[in-house]
Amino acid sequence: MKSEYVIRTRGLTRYFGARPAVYELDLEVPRGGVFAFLGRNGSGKSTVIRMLLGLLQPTRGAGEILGCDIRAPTPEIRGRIGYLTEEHQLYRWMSVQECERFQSRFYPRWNERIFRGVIDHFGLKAGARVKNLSRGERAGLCLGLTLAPDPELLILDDPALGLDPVARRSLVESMIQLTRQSDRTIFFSTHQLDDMERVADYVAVLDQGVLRACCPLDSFRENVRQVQLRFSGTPPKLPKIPGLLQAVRTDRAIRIICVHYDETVDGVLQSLNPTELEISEIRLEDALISYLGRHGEKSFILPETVQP
Amino acid sequence: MRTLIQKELRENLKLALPGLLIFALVLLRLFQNSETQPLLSVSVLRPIEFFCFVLGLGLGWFQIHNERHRDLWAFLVHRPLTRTQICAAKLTAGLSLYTLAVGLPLSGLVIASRIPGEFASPFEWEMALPVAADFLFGIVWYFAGMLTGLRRARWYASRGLPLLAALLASILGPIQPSWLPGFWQQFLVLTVGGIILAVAAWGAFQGDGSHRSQPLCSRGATTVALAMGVILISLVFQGLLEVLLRGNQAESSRFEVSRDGTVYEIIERAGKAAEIIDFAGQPLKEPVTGRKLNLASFDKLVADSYAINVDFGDRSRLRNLLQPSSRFYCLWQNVDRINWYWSREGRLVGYDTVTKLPVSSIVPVGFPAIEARFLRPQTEIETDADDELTDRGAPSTDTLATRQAIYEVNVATRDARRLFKTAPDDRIGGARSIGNGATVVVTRCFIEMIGADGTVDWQLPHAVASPRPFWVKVSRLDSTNQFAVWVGDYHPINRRNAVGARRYSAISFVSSESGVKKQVKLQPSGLKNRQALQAWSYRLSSVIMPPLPVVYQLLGWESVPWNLLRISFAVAVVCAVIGWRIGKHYHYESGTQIGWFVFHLMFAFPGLIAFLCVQEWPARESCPNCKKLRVVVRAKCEHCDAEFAPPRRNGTEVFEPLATG
Repeated sequence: MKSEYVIRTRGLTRYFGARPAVYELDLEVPRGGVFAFLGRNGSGKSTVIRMLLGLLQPTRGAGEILGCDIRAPTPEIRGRIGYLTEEHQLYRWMSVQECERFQSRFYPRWNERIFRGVIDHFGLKAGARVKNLSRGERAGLCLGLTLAPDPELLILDDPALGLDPVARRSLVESMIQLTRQSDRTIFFSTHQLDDMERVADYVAVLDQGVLRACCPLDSFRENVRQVQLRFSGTPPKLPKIPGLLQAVRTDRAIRIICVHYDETVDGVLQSLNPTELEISEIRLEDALISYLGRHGEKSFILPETVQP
Repeated sequence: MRTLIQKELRENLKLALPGLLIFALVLLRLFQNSETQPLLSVSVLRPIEFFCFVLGLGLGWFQIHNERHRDLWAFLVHRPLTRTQICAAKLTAGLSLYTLAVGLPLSGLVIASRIPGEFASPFEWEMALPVAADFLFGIVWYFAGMLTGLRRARWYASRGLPLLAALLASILGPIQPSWLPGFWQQFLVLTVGGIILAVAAWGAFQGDGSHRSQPLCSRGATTVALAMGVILISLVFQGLLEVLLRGNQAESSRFEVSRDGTVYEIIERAGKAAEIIDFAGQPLKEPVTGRKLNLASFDKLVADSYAINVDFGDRSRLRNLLQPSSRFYCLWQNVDRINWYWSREGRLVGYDTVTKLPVSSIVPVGFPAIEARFLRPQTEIETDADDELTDRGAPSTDTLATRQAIYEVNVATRDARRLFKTAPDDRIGGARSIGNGATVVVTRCFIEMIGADGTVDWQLPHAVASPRPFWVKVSRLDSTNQFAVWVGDYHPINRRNAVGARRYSAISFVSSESGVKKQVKLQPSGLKNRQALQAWSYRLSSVIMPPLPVVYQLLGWESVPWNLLRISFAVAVVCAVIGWRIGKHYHYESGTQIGWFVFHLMFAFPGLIAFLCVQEWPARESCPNCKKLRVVVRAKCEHCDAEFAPPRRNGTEVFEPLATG
């Protein structure tokens, strides 16, 4: 019987030297659907992915992927997982056709049609050498090689890195098509928030190795709110606000983005005696940027920004 | 797996193919230039070793280096195969390419060397064994290259240690064949070294170069491999330190006898003129000027001497195997364009130097089996061990010995006439012609000189106490018609040392008229620093390489004083305690602690360094419960059993259940 979750981790931790790159990660990825794994550069996304695939041993903690211990995934399990690496590395001396021949011999369920479809979409010639391909073309070839084995779980580590908008759109469409066909699961890390919004069902956010959010995408959007406070004079100093992501101060107003806007937060804001308090929804992309970039970006651009 | 093998073959052919071509051309050139049997020629074997080293190391290294990029490595290993299968595919392809690039030309060389008429010397298939050892030597370097490529360590730290481990195996094996002269010994060393490095490389492949995630056996192999590398560094360090400490104090002493029968001690000190003194300690002076005689002038006074290596061949088999064996053949005489070789079957074989074909052979026929083999002709063992391999020196003798008789060999008539026979219960350990038709024979009971007619001119009784080989030297004292007979212990470590450094413990003066005239014990008197230097050397060995004096003692090479063995043991215990303390600091499990403790007792200082090299020290952080430092690799605190604190919340967390199904 298949488990409800394709990936489960408990207290997964990885140190590089004395620095925890991933700390006590408890993550569950449900079967089926697209799971977006977000975080800034160096937040530990690739480390998590590499640990899930058995390419990196965790310092402590445990995890399962397709029901198998991540410390020692079996060949059978690896055959059911497609993995697209971040930099789309392949053997430079191989041609597209040789890459296909090489990869297809390991996978009995190799789907020639899928491979051809992807290759044609990216306009790759069979005889072209990998070393002569552009980054986007190489990404396309990697995608074809990852999709054609018809994997049950697809793990993509920033698949859109270096792709032009057209190629990115193709990638997204491929992902949508793939998940809609069966109960396949796609777990992908990305920086492309608009692409993510288009395809993801779930989102998890990793911040400096710590998981800060893991929820359906809609829930995430609903949980992040923007509040505009207007004052007759100079805005007062902000007290401590739970869930505050960002606060931008102007001459007569403060704009706040926070999560979990509830009565407590409302009470704190009302105590500032604003002349006007306006709560509005925020675009997902803006919400995520606020969430991911709450450690000082805005203050770098706008000196008057108040940080939580 | 076949696909992976094909890929590896294709990928690394760019190294193997040019290697094959260059190596084949070099071998062809060496073969054409070789005047003696090339399979035994050092000038051929050394380039072979070089190519085996380069190709083995290059292939091993590049097979890993090609996929050094993290994502390409992931592309390689993330497929429905076990790591062992992937590693096996790499090894299969790598070793196949190595065999192609090295084995193919070497096979050609062996076959070409076997063709009659190519070289005027005997051929045996076993002569291909040094070449086979070189082939294996390259495989050791192949695994060393692979392990070096795989290990995640810094170059300035322990990354290069596997290469030193391979170097150590190579030095014990083909590079310095005098240390382990038998092929089986070299084979054993290379096989053991190769297996250790292969298991370590396999383990590093399993764990992506990390030590902690490897199987236990490969972790052990990696540690031993690194310890081998550290041992080599320690030996070099010890050597340098000894040289540094010795400075100008190095000195040596030997005895010589002049033609008038006076024994002198020659003391040579670094940076000083040789001191020549008599038994009374008085320096030898020039009669005219009264100045001290220099060494060059003294050499003109020294009597002609002939050394004989006496070996009755009755040591234990193991000890015997550690002695230099008479390999294959040696050139005995060149008469009428025919090279006469002594072959190890105990016969003389003649080769025409023009046609390069065998012409005849001489054996002591018609005698009991024990007499049917000539003993190896006595020649001065060269200081250069390489010459031992080919034995090109031609002794100027016309007598040869068997175990119980001396034969006069006439290569013109191609027959052997018996001159002398020992008593039935006696055996010959060595014999040598000393000119004028005389031959000195050393048996179990006597050292005697045989005249051209087979009669005994003089006889010196002696008793062979030890089964070990020893040296006898006979000096002709022309002015007194006497002979000085020197007897010295055979020293296994110095078995190929320079003639001048050979030490004799007693000298007897004999003549045909009056028999033994006197016997003198030889004790070096002029050495002041020798014992102190030896003590220094032992102390350094005891501290830097504690297992070494113990090994010397066990093998019987040196009689190491007990107090130095105690120092060795104390150093090993100190290392073991340091290792134990470190292990305790990082809370190793008891089994691991005991394992390392035993390892440190065995390998001591080099073992401790290897231990420090392989460990991946876990970070330590303060436990929120007991506030003590705890290692991060354990799920629970080793002090208070508390779990790690969950990540601190900052109020921005968004967690909601994810719908399944």
